Amino acid sequence: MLSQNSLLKRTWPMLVQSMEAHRKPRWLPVAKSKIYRIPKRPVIPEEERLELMRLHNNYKTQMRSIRRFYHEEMIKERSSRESASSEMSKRIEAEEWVKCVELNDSWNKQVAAEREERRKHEVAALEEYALKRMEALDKLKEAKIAKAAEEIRKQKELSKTFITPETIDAAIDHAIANPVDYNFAIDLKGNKYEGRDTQITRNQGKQEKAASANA
Amino acid sequence: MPFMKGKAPIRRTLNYLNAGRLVLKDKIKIFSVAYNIIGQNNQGAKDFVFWYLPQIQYKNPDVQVATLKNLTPSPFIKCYFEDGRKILVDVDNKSKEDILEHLIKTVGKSKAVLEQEAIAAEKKDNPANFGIGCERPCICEIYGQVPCPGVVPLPKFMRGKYRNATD
Repeated sequence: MLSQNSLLKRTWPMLVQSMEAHRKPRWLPVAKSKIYRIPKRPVIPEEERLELMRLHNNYKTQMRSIRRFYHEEMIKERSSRESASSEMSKRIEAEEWVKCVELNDSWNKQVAAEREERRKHEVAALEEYALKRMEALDKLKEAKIAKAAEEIRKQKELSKTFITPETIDAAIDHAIANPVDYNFAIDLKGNKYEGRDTQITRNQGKQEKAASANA
Repeated sequence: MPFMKGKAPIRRTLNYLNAGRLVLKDKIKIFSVAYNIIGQNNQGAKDFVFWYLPQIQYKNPDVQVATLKNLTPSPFIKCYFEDGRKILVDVDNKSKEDILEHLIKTVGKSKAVLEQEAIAAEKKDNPANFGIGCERPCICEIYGQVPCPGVVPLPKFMRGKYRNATD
């Protein structure tokens, strides 16, 4: 922010360049000593007036023609200069534009080629990936089928031993003839005694110990 | 993006913005970048937008810089001139440095032009200038310079009255 003082200082020299005579300010009235002074009208003889008018007219006409001549010349010169410079700049610009477009086209072409190459690779990779997945899926299916076939074969073999209405009597007879007892007991040492009615001798463990000691 | 974490906030520093090298030609009015945020071929364009677009906008305050995100199959940069011409730059699978170099070569002002403009700008308002219409009307306002004789009389050894005195 410029201060007022600095602004004054900046503009002061621009405004006041020349020395001026001291003048009466506009708002003061006519000086006392000049109140009744009436300036005399200048008296110019008719001949002189005509002569002066002729001279003035001549001067004005000549000056006007000179001024107009220089003015027109300046305009002409300026227009010619402008057109030349603008044509020059336009030509330079057009050349530059052509150069830039050429450069850009070559760049774009190169990028397009690279992209095509990349796209090809990508498509190939995608294809490979899809094929791999399909193969894996096929393998899985095959394995499943093989497993199922194996199961069927096993079951078929087992089916020979199945109990059917025809063989049920024989099976019952066989079961009655060979009873199976799943009961068992465990003592503190972890020995397993199978069967519900198995006889357990008390000193069986001691005897074993003695045997091991003897050995 | 956190305010002051990582290396990204450097984009907001004045030094970084001033270091931008791409000053577009005067006739370019719009600079648009179209890119996607996924895909390796978009990485360069994405980085370009992230790192260089602030510099470009700072260096070209009168150019409209637009980004079109996720609206294109492949990334590109398009510049619109004031007389309706357009220039399209394909930036598919290019690094951000490559893109910047190419743009400087095609749509940026050349080094010579930039230097000329810098010189012209410097002449206009050099803070060292003084006189009517400048920042200071007289060199005597600077501390350490000889004050104007109208304000403070010159030292005696500089004044003719004393220098040329004959006794």
